[in-house]
Amino acid sequence: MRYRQHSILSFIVRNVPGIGQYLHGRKMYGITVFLAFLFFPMVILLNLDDVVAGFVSFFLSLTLLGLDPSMKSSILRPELVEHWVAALFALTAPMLIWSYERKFYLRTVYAPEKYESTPSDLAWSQFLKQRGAVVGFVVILALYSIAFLCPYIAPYNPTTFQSGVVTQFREPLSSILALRLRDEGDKGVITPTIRDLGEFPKMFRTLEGLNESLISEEEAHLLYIDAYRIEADQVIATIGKESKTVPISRLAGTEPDEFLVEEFHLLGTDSYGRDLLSRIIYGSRVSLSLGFIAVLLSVTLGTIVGLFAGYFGGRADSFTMRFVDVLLAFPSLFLILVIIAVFEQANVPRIMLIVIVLGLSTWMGVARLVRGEVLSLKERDFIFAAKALGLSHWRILTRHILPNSLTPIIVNASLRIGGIILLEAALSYLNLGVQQPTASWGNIIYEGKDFLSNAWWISTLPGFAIVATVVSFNLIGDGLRDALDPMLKNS
Amino acid sequence: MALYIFKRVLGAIPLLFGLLTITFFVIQLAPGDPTALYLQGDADPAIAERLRTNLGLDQPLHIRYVKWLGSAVTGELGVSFSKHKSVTAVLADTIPQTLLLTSFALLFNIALGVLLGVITAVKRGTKIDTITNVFSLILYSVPEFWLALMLILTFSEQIPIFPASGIHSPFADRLPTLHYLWDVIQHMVLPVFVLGIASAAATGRFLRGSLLEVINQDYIRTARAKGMPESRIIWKHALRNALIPIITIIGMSLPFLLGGAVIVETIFGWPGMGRLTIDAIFSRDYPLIIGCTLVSGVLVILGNLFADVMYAVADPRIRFTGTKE
Repeated sequence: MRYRQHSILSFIVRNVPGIGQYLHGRKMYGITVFLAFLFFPMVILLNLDDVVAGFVSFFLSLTLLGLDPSMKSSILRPELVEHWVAALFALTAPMLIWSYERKFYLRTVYAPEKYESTPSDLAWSQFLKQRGAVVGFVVILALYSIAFLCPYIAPYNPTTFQSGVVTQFREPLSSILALRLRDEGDKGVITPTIRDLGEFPKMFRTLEGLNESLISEEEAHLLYIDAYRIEADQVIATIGKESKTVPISRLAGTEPDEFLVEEFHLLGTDSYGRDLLSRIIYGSRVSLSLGFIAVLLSVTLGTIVGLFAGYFGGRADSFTMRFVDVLLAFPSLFLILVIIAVFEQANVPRIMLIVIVLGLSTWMGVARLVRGEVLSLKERDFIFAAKALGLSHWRILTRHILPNSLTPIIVNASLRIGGIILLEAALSYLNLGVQQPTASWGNIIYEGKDFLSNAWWISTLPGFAIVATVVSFNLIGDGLRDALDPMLKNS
Repeated sequence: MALYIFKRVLGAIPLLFGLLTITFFVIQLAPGDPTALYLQGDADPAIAERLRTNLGLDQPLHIRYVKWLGSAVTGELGVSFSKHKSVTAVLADTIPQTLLLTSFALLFNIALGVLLGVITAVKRGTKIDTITNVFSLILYSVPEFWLALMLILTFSEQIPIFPASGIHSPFADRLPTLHYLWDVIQHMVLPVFVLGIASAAATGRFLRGSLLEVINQDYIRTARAKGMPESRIIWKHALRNALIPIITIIGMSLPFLLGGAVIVETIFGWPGMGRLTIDAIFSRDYPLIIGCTLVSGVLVILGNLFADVMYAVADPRIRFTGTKE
């Protein structure tokens, strides 16, 4: 389908992701890409203040760090980094979608004769034919986007809790009433004590102010109630079995719609009165990043070992592979438990420890796979040619053998992530995973298991998130295998 | 055949040796002094010294290693700190209970797996195939502890059909034998289901692939041409050859069922190996940890050995060339 060059239509078709593909007949693909592209500007618009503040805070912090590196500890705070990542992601993601989709469209549909399509275009087209894999891919992208954007998407803070009869164990779809108390001017207490402002106090103060607006607690003065009635100049609130009288003069207004707040909890609250949806959204960060990094570690390690064992052969090979056999003889959960038990006292942050343990206990399968691949590649003519040319071992390994064994490695990695996410959740269940108050899907389930009979939703709902993620990764793995492996293409 | 089995057994010995070595050194890496587990913090240093001599901790590492290796090979695994019994006795008490659970789980796995595999392969490309595949994929991706919790929620809390934990009801051993058995079976339903269902889905997917490969072969076409009933073709001719890869799965799942039983046994309060390991780890009972790791490691090696030998029995080509194909 061609349009006159330079016409507006042609411009739109080329530059708005999805439109061109839709007109070309790939309707579902077009709609999905278009919606994905539109999602990010919408998030930015809805959270404009936070995005702008996050951006300014990020660049200001960078400048300050560049000017005065000694301020590192007071500038790099995890709750701020979260906002920076969200702001940067919200802006870069649509740009990436635009640039990739534009190139892909130009090469394959718009003017295939002008732009030569690359092998990755072919693989992508093959991948798009696998319906299940595409669904999995979309779900995974959505989950990762939510994980990156969680400060904008989560309705409440996942860790602030109001323990008490009113807020805890609220069912899904329930609302909690709260009276907003008047700000009694005690805000001065929260202001941090004067500390080292560094060499650029003015800039630092501006930054502090910005950061304050990003991470401050807006609803600090709330009194959660079950019901209320107004009598003269007093509000009589019922809290559980008790009732409490509050004079209207202490409230943040005189009319009910001024002092009354209604908090809606889509998925209910947990035993501490924390919003479950927010916890699941924040929990996705732990589960998704942990799975990804652990797989990266395990696949890298396995590939290196497999490459060397397979390529050099001989005694090094048989020794390494016997070692791999022995490690495989430990069931992975046993291995993990022993490593954690042994190294628990060492001063490693829990998340790091889990990543390392998961990575170190799962690389053996990859090593076997890569070794097998290398053994067969080693006998191929192009490797003989490379050797005859006098190329170094390093060059042959990295330029000739590795790229050719990448396909099974990628497929294996994508099938592995699901398993690792399941393992991480299982560790949480044994209380060896990520610790409270940080949320992870596993530890939300673990925490809810004691309240199964009176609050089923706490344990049940995060499980669906895990299932969706693992199913999606498995679908992607299957799809990649079918798309990348030409032997299976027609079966 | 005997020679082949002999060779494989010989090959397993260095593996066992490596397993013992790694276990020993991992435990040695543990921070802290093992005597601290026996003594109060303010104990007399002389007593601590004597204890170290008694435990053999005053000797150099390589001597300790050789001694430990010697006692491990003869089945002498030391005394459990937390159970105050010899590790061998503790393991001997626990293994039958785990075996009861896992053997039924394995049976369930194979029965359901073969059924799923055959159905999806025969009905290839139909709606039944798609639905079963999606369903297996989901089962395959469910965290087993979550599945266990959901089953407890549904079948023990909401509709109380099956008990949520334990191997039998309290005082059930006073019941007549038949009632006792019935009680144990009721307690087994949920854990066996959880343990077996995910692997059944995997077996099913695997079998589907290997059946589809077999169905396209000439001897199946010949059988069809002879007018043999389709059910007989599938169940007698095709399945027999398609089952060969399943042998690996069975061999592999011997230890997997034991390792996987950690979670399931903890949730369902089943007094087996998995719970024992967890308890040993949480109470830092090093002799017991080593014992549990050894048992499961040996099972992995035996499982692989079993798979290799069964392969050789099923496929004569392996026996003669020594490798698969």
